[in-house]
Amino acid sequence: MTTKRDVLIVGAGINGLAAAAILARSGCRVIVLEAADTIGGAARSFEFAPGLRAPLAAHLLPVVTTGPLRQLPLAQFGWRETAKPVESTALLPGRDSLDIDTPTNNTLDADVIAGWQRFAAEVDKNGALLRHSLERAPLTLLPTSWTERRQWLRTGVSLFGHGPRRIREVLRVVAMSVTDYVSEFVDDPAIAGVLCQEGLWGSSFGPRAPGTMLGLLYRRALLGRAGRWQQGAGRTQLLLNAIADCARDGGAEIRTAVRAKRILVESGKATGVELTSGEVLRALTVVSALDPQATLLQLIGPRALEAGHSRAARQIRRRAYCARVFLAVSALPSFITPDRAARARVVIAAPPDAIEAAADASHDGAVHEEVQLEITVPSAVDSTLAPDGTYVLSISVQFSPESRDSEQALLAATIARLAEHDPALPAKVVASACLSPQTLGDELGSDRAHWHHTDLTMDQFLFTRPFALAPRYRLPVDGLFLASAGVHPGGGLTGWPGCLAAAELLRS
Amino acid sequence: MAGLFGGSGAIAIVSAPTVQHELRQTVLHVRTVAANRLQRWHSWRGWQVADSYADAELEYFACRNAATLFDLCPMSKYRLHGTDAKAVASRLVTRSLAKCQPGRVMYVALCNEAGQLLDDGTLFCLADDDFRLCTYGRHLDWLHENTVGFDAVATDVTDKVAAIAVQGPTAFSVLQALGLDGVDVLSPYKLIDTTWGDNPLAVSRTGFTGDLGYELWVDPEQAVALWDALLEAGQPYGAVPMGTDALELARIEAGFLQSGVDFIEADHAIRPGRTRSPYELGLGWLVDLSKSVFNGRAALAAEQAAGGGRWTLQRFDVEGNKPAESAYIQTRRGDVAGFVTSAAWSPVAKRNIALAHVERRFVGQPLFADIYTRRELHWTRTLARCKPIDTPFWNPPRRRLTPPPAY
Repeated sequence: MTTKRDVLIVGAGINGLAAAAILARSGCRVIVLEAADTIGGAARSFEFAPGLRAPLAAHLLPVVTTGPLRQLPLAQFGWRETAKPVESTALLPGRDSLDIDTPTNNTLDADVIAGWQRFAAEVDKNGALLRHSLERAPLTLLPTSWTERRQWLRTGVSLFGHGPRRIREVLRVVAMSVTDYVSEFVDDPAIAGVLCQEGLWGSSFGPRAPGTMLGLLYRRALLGRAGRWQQGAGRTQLLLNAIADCARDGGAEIRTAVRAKRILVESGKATGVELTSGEVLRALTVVSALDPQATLLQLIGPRALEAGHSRAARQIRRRAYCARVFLAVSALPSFITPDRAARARVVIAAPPDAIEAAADASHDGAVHEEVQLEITVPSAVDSTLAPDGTYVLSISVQFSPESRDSEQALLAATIARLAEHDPALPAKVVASACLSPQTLGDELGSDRAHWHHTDLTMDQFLFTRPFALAPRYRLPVDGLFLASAGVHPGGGLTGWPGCLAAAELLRS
Repeated sequence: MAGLFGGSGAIAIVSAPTVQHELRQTVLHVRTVAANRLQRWHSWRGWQVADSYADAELEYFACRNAATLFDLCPMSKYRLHGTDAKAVASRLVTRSLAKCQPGRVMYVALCNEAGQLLDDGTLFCLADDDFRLCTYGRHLDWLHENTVGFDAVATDVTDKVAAIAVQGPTAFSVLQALGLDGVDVLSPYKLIDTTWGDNPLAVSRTGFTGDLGYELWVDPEQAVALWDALLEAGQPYGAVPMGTDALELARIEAGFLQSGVDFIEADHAIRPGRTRSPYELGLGWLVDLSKSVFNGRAALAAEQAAGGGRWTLQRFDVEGNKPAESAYIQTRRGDVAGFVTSAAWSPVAKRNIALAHVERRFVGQPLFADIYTRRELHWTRTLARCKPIDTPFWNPPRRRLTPPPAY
């Protein structure tokens, strides 16, 4: 059976859906193909044990009423931007836990708090400067059209609004390591570790690696003025459903449980998708919402690419060191009180030196005992995730090896690390699961799951994201666009790459 | 390839700190060093090759009137082997390989993804799954990139195959005198496997002189004996060794391009705008855009649609007799239209010839070469009218005749 469409979108994650909604509402005939049974991609709900569910990979949500997603009338489709932000705390061994959001809430020396406040204010200002560029398609390095020149001008005006001193400061800071930058403000290793780790979630580099500041600023820019995450459970599903309904309202068709086997390329042009069932769907344009390597090397294959493009795709750096651990517990850990569980985001981070050691270990495929944890309790928000009396802890484990072989060791290390703060916790665990980046990749149509699909570093940023030969959402095959975290600006459950790719497609 | 510090890495730096570029010597070096009375050498991508053996002019005239031997061992030779070898080769080069069968040799262009020329070369089809690519430059890394995803292996066989070029009007007679079978029916751009004594020998009717000529491919262990035998058999036919200086003149007359002189390999260029596409070098006939995928296809299709690139390669008959080496090409108004890349007085064409890069927008206008010559310290400047020539400066009928005329 052959059906001809305007646009075929592979993958119904937030970016695929956002692109579908924008394209469908602009009059394109759109079909979205999703391999899993449900939409949502990395943010979908995942059954890790019988009757127990948790967000697969993304358990936090940024504020979506700002940024490109606001062009969709999501309120008409059930989305309410009313939730309170999460409250982030960090657990320190042998000390009071830290309130990460508000330094002054902590009982610390005045000069420590002052340094921390200066750090927070500086990161806010530096991140704000980046925000303008993240909300828009990347600049063209050598502008040729007036549209592109206008964009340079607008970006220039926006940047200079922050003042030359701030621009200089961002240029100084953005290539630094988080350790170096944090050390300008905070000496206490325990606190410095927490502040460093806030920039390292989803990163493949340790805190001493130059350029890790980009991750911190990116995250800060993403969160916007509110500066806080929202709890993902329940909320994310509401948002995804709203975007999907918005797309369907525009005439888009969303098909789940259909896996794309390959993207068809004829004479250098993408012409459609062949499904694993053998069905062939034709379209004028194909949009991939998978990572760039899976798209180019698996769905298209190196043989249909020019050698230079195949090389560029293979050379994308995308090591993934963030695993997921799910624990079902009979009682909440002692460090999360029931009244705060719904809004809790608990971070356990080691001092910078230990984080660096953990990053090194993960590079070598080993599990370090001091892994960094980010814990939420999705079942406290969405009661359908677990039966009554059981709580689900959703944990992102940073600096874990990529390989699925490490899952048992990583689970043990995670529980041991939690037991440092609640010795009774291991006894409370009734079910558990650990998904390494490789296993997560199986769920997401990739060889490994990466927060940003490709490392978010200076050389894979703006117009060189995912690589320089694939500028502005176009992959080096005619009629093939990329709308995923692997393109500008990057990951973080924003839907921005999808929106920007769709706009770029409509412009062409 | 010799790096900044030469040798093969840190150990070389420690053990031989003063040696920057130690040239490699070919298997024929024992003979070429003995024959090289001038002891003038240069580096062909790290190999020691002779500029000239005794007198470049005599070697050139031997090439045009008798026969010459040229040590072709430094030529990069890559083997592409495997069931997908043809598919790899087809994506590698811009030309259609539909007619490429075993025993056929094709002149090919290699482009990068921007449609810029990496090198030109010859592709030998040894068998359906076995190809040999010969280029001036080194491209093993690029070939490895090209085999990813294919059932094919690229290996460097530069050391494993020795080659001697026998070029000139009496070249056919030299090979007959050597007793090679099958050369009489060998037409241009064909390859045969024959024997020399008891040893296998491959002969192709290819060359870089634009005249009748052959290239002999042999086991390196036989190379010296073959060289001696060729000189002995060729003695009545005037066969002598030829250096690169004479070859350079011959190839300019033939209108062939020289890497590093008439174009820069795209992966060697740092500055934008210094590389060239096949269309800009008069090699558009090597590009077949109807092939579904090859390196540079998208960029070349776009370039052709936009008119074929900014530059053109022009063959000029330059007024006067002063070689227009490195001269600017100007319009009558004095606008710079381009520059000469290769130039020489051609004894055989009796013309002052030049290959030049000229911007497409100036083609058709009266153009002049701005020639500076220095005689006894004093410079003189000549504006010489350049007449475009469509055909090679030297293209004798014997180059195409099968069998070629015997002497």
